[in-house]
Amino acid sequence: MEFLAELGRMNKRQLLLQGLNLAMIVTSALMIWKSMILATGSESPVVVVLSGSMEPGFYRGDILFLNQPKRPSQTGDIIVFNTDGREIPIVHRVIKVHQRAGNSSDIDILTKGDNNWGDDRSLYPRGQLWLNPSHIMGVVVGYLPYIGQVTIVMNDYPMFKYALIAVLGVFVLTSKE
Amino acid sequence: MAPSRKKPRKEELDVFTEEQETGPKIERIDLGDTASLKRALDDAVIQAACDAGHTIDNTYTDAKIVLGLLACAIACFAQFYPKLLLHFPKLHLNNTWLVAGCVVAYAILSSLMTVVAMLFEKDAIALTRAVPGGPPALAIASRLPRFAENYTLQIALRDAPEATKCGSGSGAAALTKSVGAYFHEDGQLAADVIKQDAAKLLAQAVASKSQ
Repeated sequence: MEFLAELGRMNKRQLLLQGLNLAMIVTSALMIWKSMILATGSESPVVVVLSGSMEPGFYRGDILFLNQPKRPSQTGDIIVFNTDGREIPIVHRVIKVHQRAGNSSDIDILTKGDNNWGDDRSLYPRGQLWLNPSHIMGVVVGYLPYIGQVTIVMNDYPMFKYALIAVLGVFVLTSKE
Repeated sequence: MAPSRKKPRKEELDVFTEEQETGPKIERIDLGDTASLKRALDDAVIQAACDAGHTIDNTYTDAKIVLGLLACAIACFAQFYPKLLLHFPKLHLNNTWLVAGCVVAYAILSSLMTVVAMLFEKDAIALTRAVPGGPPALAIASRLPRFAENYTLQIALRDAPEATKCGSGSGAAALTKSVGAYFHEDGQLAADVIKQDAAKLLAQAVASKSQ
């Protein structure tokens, strides 16, 4: 491939600079992600909807933007939560909130997917009937339809993800701008 | 076919194999790829400068490399340092200020890198160091716009204003020629032509110092 010949023609300093170019692109994407985490207060500010349990509101492949609100959850909020032992967080709606007398931030939450038959008690760990605020990753504040399909494809076919990264890496390493 | 032809044919074979063994691999550059053409020409010019006895000053390149490595180190620290791993359910974001500090430091470092490239280097392909009692410090700049055919080479004294920007016309030694003058039809670089032109400009620039 010609790009190997290109790299062979460069001296050590130029090679180092090209490698740094690639590294700077990767690290600036990482830093943008970190600043989004700091700005929204949520651990994962952008998520992809993986199931159809919130149809017709959200379909599989939609991207959701999350925020950690200052006020406690209310019924009707669409939240993304993760219980202990779950790998993938769930996006569902809050349908019940029980508040302890005198302490408004200590609440019990019950959720349900709009498109599901029953509430989420079957998804919580055995013996747990309620969620509390520490389980919540964020509240949905915006969404983009369809764009998350790329992430789903890359998850289902990991070779596609590696091939894409390899091709992009080659482009950056041999670019001369 | 006839036995009398055997001898010349054998000689032809010997010459043929001899040609294949000698000579290094010849580089052929695609004549439509202006970036490769510019890189080849720049390398030849720098070679000519070294041949004429100038020492290349790598300070700005080294500065960019150091800034870049530092920025990547900060990014790796922010990502992999154990106390900063934002695992669920520690949602209250331990060490928020440390992460914020990393982000700010990274932004500053990467902007500095851009500043060095934009303000100090501009069109320069090489800067030379002054030798006391010898040649003065020079700035060698070149320009070959995308899909254009004219290569501009400018060699000026390093402390001259706008020395690193091509086309400043501040009396610096400059020349503009079509790339056709420097490359063969098949993409091979005519190294001696470009080196000759570069040597002429170098002598011009060095002589202008004494004026």
